[in-house]
Amino acid sequence: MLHKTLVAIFLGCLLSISVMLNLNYILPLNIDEKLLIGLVVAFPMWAIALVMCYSSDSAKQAWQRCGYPLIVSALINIYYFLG
Amino acid sequence: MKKYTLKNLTDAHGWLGIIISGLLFVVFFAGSISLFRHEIFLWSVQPTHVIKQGEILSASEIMELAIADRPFNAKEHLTILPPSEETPYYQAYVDLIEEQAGREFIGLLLDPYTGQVVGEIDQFILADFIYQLHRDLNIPFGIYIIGFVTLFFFFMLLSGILLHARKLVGNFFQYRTDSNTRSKLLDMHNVVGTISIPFTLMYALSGLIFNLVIIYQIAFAVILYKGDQEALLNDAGVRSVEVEWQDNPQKFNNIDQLVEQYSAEFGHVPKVVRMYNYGDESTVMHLIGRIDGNFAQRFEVAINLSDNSIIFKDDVNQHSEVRHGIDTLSELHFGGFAGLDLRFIYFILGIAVCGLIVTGNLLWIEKRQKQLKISQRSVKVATCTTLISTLGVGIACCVAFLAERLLPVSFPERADFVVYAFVATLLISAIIALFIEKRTFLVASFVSAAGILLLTIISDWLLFPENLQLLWQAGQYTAFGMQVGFAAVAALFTFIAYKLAQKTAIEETIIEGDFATN
Repeated sequence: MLHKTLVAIFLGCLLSISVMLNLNYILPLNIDEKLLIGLVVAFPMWAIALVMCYSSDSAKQAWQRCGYPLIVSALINIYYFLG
Repeated sequence: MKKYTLKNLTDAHGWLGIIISGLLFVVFFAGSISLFRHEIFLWSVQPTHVIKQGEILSASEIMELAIADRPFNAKEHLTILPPSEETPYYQAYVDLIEEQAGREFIGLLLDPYTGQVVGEIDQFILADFIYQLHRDLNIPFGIYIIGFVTLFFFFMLLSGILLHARKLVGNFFQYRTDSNTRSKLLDMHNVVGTISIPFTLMYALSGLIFNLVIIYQIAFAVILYKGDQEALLNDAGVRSVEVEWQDNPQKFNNIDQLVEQYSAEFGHVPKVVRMYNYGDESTVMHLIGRIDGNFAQRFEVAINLSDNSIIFKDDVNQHSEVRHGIDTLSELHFGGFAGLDLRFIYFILGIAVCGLIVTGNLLWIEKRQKQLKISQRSVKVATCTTLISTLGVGIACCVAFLAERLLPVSFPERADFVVYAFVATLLISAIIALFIEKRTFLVASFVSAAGILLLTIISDWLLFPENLQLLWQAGQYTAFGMQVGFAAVAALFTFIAYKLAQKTAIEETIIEGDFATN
């Protein structure tokens, strides 16, 4: 349970930040609107990451469930950040 | 959903529930009470000082009275909160020269008709103390602790919905009154959980945004804004005024005129009138208030008083959506967009969530007790924690109300003693809970809480009979509404204690009967 909790908190947080940044890059809106949408989406996303981790059978599965989407999202971050 | 997924989620729902339940209960209990924090504040203040009717003094007159004979630090702020629906008093926050005053600022409560200082705002701490308990437990870093508790609460909601999804509609009206205790608790937990889903989801999201926004703020500032925190705050609609001190004393006569002008433009008197460099040529007035006819829409104007030029102006047409969004969530969170009736509904829902937390704990404890192979120490810890965090906090709040009423307004450390009364009661109830039988503790707690509340009402009338009569004649009924509330809660507690005692007596009779038969 402790391992799952650590994965859920840290990877969940990173995943939500990463997705929020992507939304900021992608959405064709004003900056204040993008910030608000990011904020409203980020926390539920973190909570969903918690659900994904805690419903896993093991800490390894929790890593995979959060890690894979994080890698994809982080790659998109890097693409926009460098581009 | 796969079987193991459900099992894992059920385990996590139970364990995390029991771990966060104590703090979550405090958050919901204190939050439900602090929905009425303006009323609690008025109940604290009004009987000690009745304001007489007349012509309300202007903001500029109050400013002069607030800084008179005080080491006012003009290079900092002078903030005035005009009388409103929530409070009939003027509130003034005066920044002081720390070397002379020994403190950074003073908060004053002023009679709006005479300008007489009723007392310091911090003296009447109870309402704010309960609100802070809800927000950050009144401890350092409490805001983040509560933030993470809220995050887990969000998980509890989502996992609860997933676990109960198939029966969410079908079992909505199921309440098995004639079955065993576990079924009753489970039905209560499920029904209250289902009814309160929109409310609890809103609370979880808004609570997270209020308490943990710093995480995303840092991420945004570092990555999107390349470390420019100020630009981020500007886009988020956080306004600040920076003016340079000119060292050229000047009096301005246009303060009241400008306050009236913007009150007329936006349909509301500003909630906050803040002066920067007050008394200097560079004086700036910052007004913040609500815009009439718009949901959670605020106006903010900063004006150079020397030439009436506008530094910035936020209104319906020009504002940050982040600011507006957070104001909207704030209105939803505190039920500030409607009247007293909505806050009563919020209060009932908040207390129902407290019930949800308690039933969840009881279900976990009962399940754990049946598992013979498992150590029963965790059951004892969970039982004691539940009792202390629920009944202990409840009684401590009642004692804090009594202390707020009994401690004289002139007593300099009044606020500290209200807090001491709360903490001491919590500790005493924790010690008692460890040593006496649980059912006896339950009955005694409800009886003593009811007694304390009744004593508070009696103290009101014994200490301030004339002022209460004057308040009644002036048509100011808030203090009486509070007394009715105390009486209603005391009656409810007495009823619960009676039912619990009756149940205990029946159970004892059955046990004695069994012994006699054997």
